[in-house]
Amino acid sequence: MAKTVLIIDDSSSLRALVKLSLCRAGYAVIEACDGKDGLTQLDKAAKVHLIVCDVNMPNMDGITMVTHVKQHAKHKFIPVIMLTTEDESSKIAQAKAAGARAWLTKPFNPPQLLDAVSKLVLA
Amino acid sequence: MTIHRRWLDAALPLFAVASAGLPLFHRVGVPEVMAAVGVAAASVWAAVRATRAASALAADGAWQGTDPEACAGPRPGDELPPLLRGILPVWREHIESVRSQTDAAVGDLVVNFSAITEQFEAAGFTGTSDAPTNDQASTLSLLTLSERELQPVIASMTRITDSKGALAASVHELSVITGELQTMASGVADIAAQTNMLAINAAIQAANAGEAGRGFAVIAKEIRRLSQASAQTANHITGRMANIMTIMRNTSAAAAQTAVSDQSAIELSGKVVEDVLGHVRALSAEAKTMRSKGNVIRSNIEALIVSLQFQDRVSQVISVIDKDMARLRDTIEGDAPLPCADEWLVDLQGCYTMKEQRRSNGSSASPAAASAARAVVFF
Repeated sequence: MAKTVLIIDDSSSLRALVKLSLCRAGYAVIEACDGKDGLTQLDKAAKVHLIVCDVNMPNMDGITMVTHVKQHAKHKFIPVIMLTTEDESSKIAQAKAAGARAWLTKPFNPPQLLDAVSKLVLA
Repeated sequence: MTIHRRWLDAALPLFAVASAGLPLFHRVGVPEVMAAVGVAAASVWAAVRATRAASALAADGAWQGTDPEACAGPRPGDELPPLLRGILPVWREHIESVRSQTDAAVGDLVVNFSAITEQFEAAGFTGTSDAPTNDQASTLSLLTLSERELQPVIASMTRITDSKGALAASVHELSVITGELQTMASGVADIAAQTNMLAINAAIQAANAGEAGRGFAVIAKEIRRLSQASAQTANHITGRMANIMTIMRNTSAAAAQTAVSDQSAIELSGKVVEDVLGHVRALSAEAKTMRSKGNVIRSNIEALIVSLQFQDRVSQVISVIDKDMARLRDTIEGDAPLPCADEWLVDLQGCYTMKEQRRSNGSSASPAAASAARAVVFF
């Protein structure tokens, strides 16, 4: 059965690109347009194996979203990859403290993302 | 007034610089639109500054040629906030429109380019590496198998023809032997005729011998009967051998004709098979070339899809500009005095998410490094 990945990004084109890469690698994909929508989708989904999340988004940013996920009894073990244009070391430290497992700066190479996804899904 | 001017002198060119810097990310329509917005911002501010300069000169008494009252319009300090209040929402709408349109268009491009890649793969033009895919391997195996299997077919057909030739030779040899047998049967018939003649003479001599020759006459009669039977049998054999000879000749002729036809058919088959194998080899070479070229196209498309991530970076830049315009509008509408440009820019820098933005604000460094992918950081 295909592993499910939740993609959270306010850019629909970026979501399309990530979805394309993941679907071609055999993953099932759920999309959300910001952190708040991401939490909603997470609650609605039967099972999510990994989250790929942007940092700077409207309504709720990625780091806040990760904080909420890690406080949730059901979702706290889901690994999160931050995929963002943000490259401030303080933000990276915040994401790590919030519970994210990896940080990937855009633009990214699809094989690079897939490698990170497979490592964390299998971990 | 001075604060307004100093602040806008710094802020509006920054919008223009940020917009003009966007083409460095990539070459799509958004940067041009953003550049146009930046240029418009600079133009508006240039007009405002000209009005302000004229007003200032008139107020300082340095304006000698014209009555200052005749040139005096609304004071720029009074007209600028309403102007910006009117313009900024429109600019923000344009920026949001550009951002959303680009996002949708780039999303479509990603989907379409990916569809092209998938079609290429479905057509068997590409593989994930230089090694062929399962389907391609099957095709190549089929080509190789065809070549490997067709060659023995020709050899087998040649062997069959050779066997038929040997069979024809055997039939011919049998025909010769049959001819010899027919000759021998004729010899037997001659011997029977002579034996019959001898039996007749023996019977005559037995009759001349009288009573003493009666037994010999019986023997002579039996010998004559046997010689006649031998003659009939020899004639019968000769007749049958003649039939066999006719059949043998027909068979031999048919075999010879078949051998010629078979040879001709085999030569034709060999030529056809060689032609087919030639096409198979050419097809195999073309398939390899197509796969190689398909891989190049696929690689280019994938690189293109990755490059389309520029839109997300552009969107980040636009979002910061949009938020800063909102902040400017809110500041103008508020009662608090405007901050100086340096203070404003410090706050603006706090909204930046990328090194390129930080570099473009007060730095001449190129933002070209934006296109390079960076390593994953695992925690």
